[in-house]
Amino acid sequence: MSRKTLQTFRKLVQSLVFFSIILIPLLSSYRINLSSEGLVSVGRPELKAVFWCFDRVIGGLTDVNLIGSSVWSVNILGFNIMDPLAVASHIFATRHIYPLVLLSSIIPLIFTLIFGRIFCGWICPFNFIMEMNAKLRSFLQKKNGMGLEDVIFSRKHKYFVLGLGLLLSVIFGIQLLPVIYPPAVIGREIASLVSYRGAGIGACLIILLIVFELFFSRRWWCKYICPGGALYSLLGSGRILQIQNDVDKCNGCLKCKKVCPLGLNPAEGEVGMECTNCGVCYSNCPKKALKFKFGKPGINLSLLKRKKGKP
Amino acid sequence: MEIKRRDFLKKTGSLALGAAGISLLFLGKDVYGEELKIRLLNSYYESGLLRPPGAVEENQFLSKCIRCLRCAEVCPVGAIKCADTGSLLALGTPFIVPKERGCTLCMNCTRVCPTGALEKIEDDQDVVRKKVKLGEIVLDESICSAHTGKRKCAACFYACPFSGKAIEIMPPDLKPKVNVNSCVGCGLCEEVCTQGAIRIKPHGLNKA
Repeated sequence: MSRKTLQTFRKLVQSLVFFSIILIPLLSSYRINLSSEGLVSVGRPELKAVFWCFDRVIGGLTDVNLIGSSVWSVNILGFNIMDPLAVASHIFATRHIYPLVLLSSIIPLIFTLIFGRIFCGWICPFNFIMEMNAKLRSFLQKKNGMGLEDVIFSRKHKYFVLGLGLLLSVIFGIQLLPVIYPPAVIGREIASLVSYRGAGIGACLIILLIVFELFFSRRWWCKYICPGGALYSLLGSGRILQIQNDVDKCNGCLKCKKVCPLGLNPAEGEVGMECTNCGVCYSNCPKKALKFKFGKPGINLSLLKRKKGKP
Repeated sequence: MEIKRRDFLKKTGSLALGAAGISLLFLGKDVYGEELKIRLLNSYYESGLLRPPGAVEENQFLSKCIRCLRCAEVCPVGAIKCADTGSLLALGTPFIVPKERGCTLCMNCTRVCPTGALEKIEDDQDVVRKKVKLGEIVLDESICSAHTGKRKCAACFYACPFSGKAIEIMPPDLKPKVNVNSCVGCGLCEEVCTQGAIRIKPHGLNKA
């Protein structure tokens, strides 16, 4: 796979996930309407149009209950998969460990142990929205000449948010993180947009975040606040696959630092556990010095510093 | 100085425009409607929310439910709704408003719940009758049209999945009588009652 196609592939995966988050509630709503009252009773015109299309494409196929819900908790071919944050929150709030619940997070857990925060970079629908938001932000900055601030916070904040959320869950016995965790919120709001009259307070939260990141701080949530990102970072701190810099090839242009969505510096090995393995730096490296490699990075920093001095 | 001011104006202007656009999206649509009214009338901590069938006790439910709404997705009649503002910390949890749509006791939701917040219940009449208890049925005889003698109605009797056991009607004036112990609290009677005489009372936080 060439370097540029990796990004195309990633975009494809992201849009596919986002598309299915919208499509699955629509499909189940279609199934429900078909099995209970028939499509005649659908009142809303936009739903009626969608169902008309479904009728033509998969007409009468009412047994499509293979996949359910959003990325927060899915059922693929009868096997439950849950976000590790959901499981952590469940364990802390109930103060018990339920083996079945734990089992349902085993697949994301294995992926995280090997690839790190791969969920954030490749699947998370909120990350998908925010990447487009960041594009809009740079468009406004470059083309419209707006001076947008980029307030920098500490990356440690997100571990604090995760800790506080879990602590409060233990104290009150109520799961609190699902209320603010964007992938869960997005799934819920889209589902309620489809099946009921409208979205709720969660949609307001997402819109506020979009506005905040657009005007005040680039990728604020993912970098500094997200409790899910914090958990994935912690779980993936001993990741096997990592982006590594081949210092012999690197010309020290630090383009990777500019393009990194999370503001990391892969050329100088400052990726740590925050990296989402999205591969944007890998695709944009002009000298093809950055590579995905198994094992820990060993970068000769002195050699790099010498190179950086050259034009 | 001049540039900064222009930037500031641009920023606030676009913020205001964005806010206006967003509020336009929500304006005029019945976003909350009946639900909000119901919830404003009985605040969450006083009355609680009516949980789907198979729900564990409210305190445990709040700790077990991960708010994924898969129960709402499989509900064949769209009875399960998502709690929103006004339900405070229960935000995102599933609940039923029987006045809008009662539960048809298909037990789909109990089968898909990944967390054990809804315990699995077989789709069998006897099992359902033994295990399911959504809430407590309350009949206000001062409003019921059969009891007040306005007209013979018996709509609740015909809607009830366990009619004759949970709701009985007595000839000749067809006055309904509810049996709290045989009632599963599905709320189908509340849905059809034109007078609002029947209400399913949620267990709430207080009841174990």
